[in-house]
Amino acid sequence: MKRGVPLFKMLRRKQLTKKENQLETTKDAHGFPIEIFLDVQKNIENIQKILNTPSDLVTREFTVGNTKQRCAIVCIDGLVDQTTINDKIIRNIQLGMANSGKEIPASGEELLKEFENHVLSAIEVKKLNTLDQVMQSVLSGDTALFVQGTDQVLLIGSKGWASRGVNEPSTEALVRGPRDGFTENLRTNTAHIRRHIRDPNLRFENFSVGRRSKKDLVLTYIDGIVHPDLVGEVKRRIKTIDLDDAPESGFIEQWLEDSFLSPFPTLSPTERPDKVCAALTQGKVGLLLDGTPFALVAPITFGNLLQSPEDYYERWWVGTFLRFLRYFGAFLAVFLPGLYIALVSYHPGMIPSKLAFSIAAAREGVPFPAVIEALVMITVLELLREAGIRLPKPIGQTIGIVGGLVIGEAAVSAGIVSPVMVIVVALTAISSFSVPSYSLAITFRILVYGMMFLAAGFGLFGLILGYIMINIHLVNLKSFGIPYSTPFAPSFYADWKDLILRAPIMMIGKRPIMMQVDDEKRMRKGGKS
Amino acid sequence: MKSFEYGDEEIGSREILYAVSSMVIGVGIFGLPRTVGSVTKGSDGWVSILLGGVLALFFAWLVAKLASRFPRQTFLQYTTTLVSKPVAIFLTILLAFHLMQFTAYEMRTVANISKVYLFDRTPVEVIALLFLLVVTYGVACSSVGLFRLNLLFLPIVLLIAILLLIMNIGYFEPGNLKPVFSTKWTGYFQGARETLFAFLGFEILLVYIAMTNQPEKTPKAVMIGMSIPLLLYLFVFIIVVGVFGHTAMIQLTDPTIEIAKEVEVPGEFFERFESLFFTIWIMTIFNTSALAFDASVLAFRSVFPKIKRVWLIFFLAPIIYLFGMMPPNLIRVYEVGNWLGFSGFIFAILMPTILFGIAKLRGIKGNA
Amino acid sequence: MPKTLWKYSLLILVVFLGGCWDRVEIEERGFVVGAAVDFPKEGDEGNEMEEDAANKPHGKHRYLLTLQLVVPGSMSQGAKTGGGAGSGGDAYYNISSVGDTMFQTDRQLANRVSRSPFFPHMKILIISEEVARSGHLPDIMDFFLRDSEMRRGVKVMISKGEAREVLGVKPVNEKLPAMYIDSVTENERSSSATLPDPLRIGDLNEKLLTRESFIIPRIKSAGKEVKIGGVAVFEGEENKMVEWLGGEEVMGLAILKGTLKGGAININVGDNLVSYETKGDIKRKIKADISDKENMKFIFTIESEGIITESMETIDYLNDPAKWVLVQNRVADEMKRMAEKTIRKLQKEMKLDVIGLSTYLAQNYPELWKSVGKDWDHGENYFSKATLHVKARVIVRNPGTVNQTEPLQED
Repeated sequence: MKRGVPLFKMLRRKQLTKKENQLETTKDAHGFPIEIFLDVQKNIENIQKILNTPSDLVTREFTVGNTKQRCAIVCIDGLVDQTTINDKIIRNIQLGMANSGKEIPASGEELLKEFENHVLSAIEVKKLNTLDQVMQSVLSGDTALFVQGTDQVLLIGSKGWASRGVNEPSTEALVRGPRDGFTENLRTNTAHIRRHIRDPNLRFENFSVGRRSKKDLVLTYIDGIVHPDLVGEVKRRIKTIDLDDAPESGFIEQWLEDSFLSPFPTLSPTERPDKVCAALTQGKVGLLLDGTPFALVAPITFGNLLQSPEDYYERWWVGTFLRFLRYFGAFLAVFLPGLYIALVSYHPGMIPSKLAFSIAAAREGVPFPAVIEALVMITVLELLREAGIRLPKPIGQTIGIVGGLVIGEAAVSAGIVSPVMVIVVALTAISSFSVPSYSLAITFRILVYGMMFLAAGFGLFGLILGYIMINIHLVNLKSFGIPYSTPFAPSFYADWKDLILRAPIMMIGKRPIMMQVDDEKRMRKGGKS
Repeated sequence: MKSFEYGDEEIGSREILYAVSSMVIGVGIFGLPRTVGSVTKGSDGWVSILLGGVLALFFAWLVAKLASRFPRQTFLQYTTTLVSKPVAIFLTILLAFHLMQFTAYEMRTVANISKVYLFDRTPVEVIALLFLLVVTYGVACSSVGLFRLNLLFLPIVLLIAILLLIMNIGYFEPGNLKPVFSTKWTGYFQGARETLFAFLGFEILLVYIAMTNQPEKTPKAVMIGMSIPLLLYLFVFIIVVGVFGHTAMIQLTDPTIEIAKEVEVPGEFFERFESLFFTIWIMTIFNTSALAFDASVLAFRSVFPKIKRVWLIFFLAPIIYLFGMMPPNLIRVYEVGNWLGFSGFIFAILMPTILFGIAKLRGIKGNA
Repeated sequence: MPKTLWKYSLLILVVFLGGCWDRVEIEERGFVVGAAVDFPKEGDEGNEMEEDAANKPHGKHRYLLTLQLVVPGSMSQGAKTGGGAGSGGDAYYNISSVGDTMFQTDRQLANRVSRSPFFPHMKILIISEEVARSGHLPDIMDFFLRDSEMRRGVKVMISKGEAREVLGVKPVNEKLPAMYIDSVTENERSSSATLPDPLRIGDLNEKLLTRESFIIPRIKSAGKEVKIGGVAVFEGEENKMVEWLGGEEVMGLAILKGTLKGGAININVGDNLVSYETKGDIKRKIKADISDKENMKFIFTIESEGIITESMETIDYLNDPAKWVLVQNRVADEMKRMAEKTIRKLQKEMKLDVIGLSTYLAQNYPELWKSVGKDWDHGENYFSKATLHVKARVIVRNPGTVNQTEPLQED
């Protein structure tokens, strides 16, 4: 890690020191007592004080059976499943205890044990004894059960809130392939992965991120395939995360990535469980954040971003053809406007005579040089894309028509832009849509501008220098220790079978060598390589 | 993070192979048919190229053998054990200057040729500056990054070269190859000397083998790496003679670019193939310059380990620029090229031979 | 971080400050598609500029350079309005100026047009006979070869009469005369024997550099069309044009050089004509007897394969092998006749070797060539003293799709 990274390291060092301070300060950030009292009433008051008696806080005090043993349950309305609390907690305590005929223990301690072992019929029950842990559990949808006379608190899993159903991922639609996508619900998401990989070695490790939000972040990998150091490094980086809130996995991505100066993504976000599972079997790790359907996959290389799951679902001829197409598309998406400018403004000699004459004829009367023309058109295109996302769906279509047809046609007939330019811009847009990774596509959209400036300044010479610079950047960029340009350079020829080509499934018998996996073979025979 | 070995600052023998090829293939190929053709007759130049190439191959092997005798030792370290420390420092600094001059020459040539084939009014100074800036950016990133760039660029460059040769087959007149073997034997040797200059550049191995993790495999990798330019030169020469004929060939400034001019792309997809060819060729020239620059930085750093790499690069880049822009015209640039060939001869051939002799005689081996 | 930023910003700064020296938009270029070189006459533009500088260096000659520039707007107008009205006028204009050097003239022209001339799309270069005969061809060619804008694929032709008139023809189906001429030369279908192979300027460069004599195709303008046929023969020492070779001699030459690709060869069978066409290249072999420098002997063996394209004489080809052989022999004799006619003209009248024997000798007998090379077709002129024999062999592959078009007349 030579370049770009030292800066990152510097930053990380800062974070580490900050983190150490933070551990002490958050505990009693607001000056409330943090220990749990033996008295139920006092505890409830304490909680109400901490939360400032919000309207969604539900507290219910009651006595068990005919004893004077006071209990209370605390939960947040909306985060909990009411029926769970009714059927599994309150009913069991009040009826179950009374009907069991057993003697009700007098001490709070034992009563609690009795509840835990015999009374509560919920699956998820845990005992906690600090208030901040209790608070966090309650705030994430559990129900707390306080019992008079003990400083132990039972927390019963009762999460249940309204969430979106499983839908087809909208950003990564495929013609062929599973239609289910991740949702905002972490459990649903982990379930997706479990359902795909029923390997006992599949690991889920929980982290909590966000100083305020305390979101669940799950690191998943397959033990025995993944390189252990990779997991170690990911964990180390996760521990440095110091955020108030992580509303989306994008925050995690930006915190974990190797170089924040790079326009290229070094973690790949995806909505597709099959994509994450495929990555796990290749020895990569996945990151799932609660509250977002976008999981993260790391490490990734440039080649990975141009792959789509469909390459594997279709037969290999098709897959290979699509790959080639996509590499070509990626090239066009970055270089086409630049090439057009270079050829038209600097090297018209390279255009075949007849085409040159017709381009010249088309540009006749256009008041701007090709650069300005291209800049304007590309920017308009970006505006259209942005507007298309922003607008409500029914109007979004209108924008497409107004922008694409009306403005385009009007601009051409008004002689502000040449028809050839419109074709070039449209081609660029189409090409950038052919890139399967949305984050890479955005990167390309930025690079296009750079290439246009270089081409405008120095024609083909500028373009080739731009190409070289992009390559310099790519070979020096790393994603969790893996050079971004692997397996092109450093080259692992065995991995090329699944790079631009997509060799027949039977022949990809080994997991990518570049991942240095523990278990190399993907098939019993391990292929012919 | 150290989990992925190949992500570290080490290179394997494959990287060395590509680096040698990329280093040698540079601007030398443009004028080679002319320089060799002017001292030989008919198509006899290929004998010279073969002769020069085999000689270069041998000396490259010698350099690799010498450097891999001292695994993981820098040039300075092993020359210190062979000759005394002051001499070693002197040699290292001279080598570093030679490599800087190499970068400067490549930069100037690329600017000159760009000026002819791509530009008209843009000043050479600006073209050179731009090129050098990109080279500096590449070098400032990391050495191992440059090796990876070789892996990426060399196949593209060879592909365009092969494309060029294939497309010229239509213009190839076998008659132009005749007469054969009518050159005097001195001519062959003169030609071989000219070729040898075009093969120089492998002296970077003196510096780089310290970085490789498989020193015992390097000599073989170097041999393969050197044979790529050898084959390329042979084919280019034969095609150029076949297309232009000997008489016309020696009158063209850059015959290799001129055969690109000759080509008409099938389907008239685009014209002026030479612009495209040269544009892509810039990639290998970049590799050559960047490797030379990087090697000189490494050499300097071995003498002055306290100076930070980045500062050294920023300090050296302007000097390289001045070196490169000093010659006022084409003839002086060629003169510089000749001098560079001469100093390359010393560093790639004379010095390694002597050092290798000393090492052999005194039986010195690294690590032992 | 600051370091990296500094580096990037410097780079971007350079791009912005430095760029755009060479940027000329495509519609601001004056695409030159054809050029013609003549000697100036009274009243030509630029000729009067003579007096203003008495001391400036003068060339041996002044030239009249005519460039044909494209008017792209009118090119596409036809397409846009569906070929209506045609009010757009011509898609080209020719512009001439007189100057001492080509380059100077080119720049003078740039003063008079709104779009400065741009040469990479140039297709043809026409030199007038007058200029060709003056021996200044290499001087003119220098500009068209040296400038890096120039393509090596430009076709060179010698015009009978004024060169700029050729650029002024008004072709019926093409918009640009130069493109029209270019496609005529490319026209392989009509690649008749009298249509000489187009000469690319790059090849001309090679010819100029050697002392070899060479030929350049001839072009004539005739109102709405041009006629390309015949060649101008140049002697290699001074690169001066010497003589024209007509249609049949060009064919003979093509036979001798082995470059014949097609073209009708008519023969008499009975009292009617049969027409034969070579398919594919003909094969030519040279055998040399060089024992006597003063009287070298060369035997040209020519082999041609082809088909019957027209048979006015009714012959039952399929059932009459004797007639088939007869036809083959007659064609061979005809080819031999044409070749020998050409040899006679070249060897005895012009005493110039454009057959390629000099190259043949230089390549195969370098030792001998050293002694005769300088006096090959001038001075001693060993060429004219040599004896050239032609042997021809013809194979008719098939008689076409019909055997006979009318019944055989019973004798």
